[in-house]
Amino acid sequence: MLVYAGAVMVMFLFVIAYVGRRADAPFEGGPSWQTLAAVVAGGVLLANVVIALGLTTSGRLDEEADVTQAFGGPSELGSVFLTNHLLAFEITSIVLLVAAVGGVILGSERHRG
Amino acid sequence: MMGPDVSWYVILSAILFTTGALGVLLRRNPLIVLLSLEIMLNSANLALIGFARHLGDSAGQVFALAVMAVAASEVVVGLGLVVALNRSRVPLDVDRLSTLRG
Repeated sequence: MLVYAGAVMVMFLFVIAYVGRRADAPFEGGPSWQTLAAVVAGGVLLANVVIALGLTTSGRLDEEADVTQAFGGPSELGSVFLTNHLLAFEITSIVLLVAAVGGVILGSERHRG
Repeated sequence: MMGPDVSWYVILSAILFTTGALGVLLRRNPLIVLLSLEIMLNSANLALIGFARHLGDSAGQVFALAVMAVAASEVVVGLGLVVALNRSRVPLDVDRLSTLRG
C-alpha cells in the first residue's frame, strides 16, 4: 500500500507539474449532448450496479465470517501468496519488469531515432 | 468487531467506479483520464477487499495486490506516453490524439 501510494501518486504529481500548465476546461461552451449522454450513462451504470447487487445478494450478506486477528496480516498474506498463488506472484513480477522497461524506453530521448 | 456492513463498501465501490467512468467519459486531458482509470481500479480493489473480509478468505487480498501491480504498470506506461506527447508538442487532448503517427 505504501509502495503504491508513493510510486503512483508521486509520479502523477511529477507529471502534472511537468505537463500541466493549463487544466482543461471541461464544459466550455455549455454542456454538449455528449456531456449529457455521459452523465446519463454514468447514472444508469450506478443504478444498474446497485440494483443488480441488491437483487443477487439480498439477505445473503448479513452473516459475517469470523476472522482471526492475523487475518490480512503480512505473514498470512505472504504464505497465501507464495503457496496457492505463486503463479500470479511470478506473473506480477514479470508485468512490473516489462512496465519498467517500457517506461524507460518511452522516456528516453533516442527511441524515435 | 463492530464496523460498517459489507454492503456499504460495495455501494461506495460502485459510486467510486461511476465517478471514474464519468471522468473517463467527460474529461479530455489524458492525465485526468489516467487518474480516473486509477479511481476505477481502486474501486474494484475496495470491493475485492470488502468481500475478502466478509468471507474470511485471503484470496481477495491477493487479487487486490495483483490489481495494484497492474495499475502501477499502466501508470508507468501511460505517463511515459503523456511525457512523450508533451515533448513532441502534441496537444494533450484525447479528442485530437486520433492518429498513431506523430
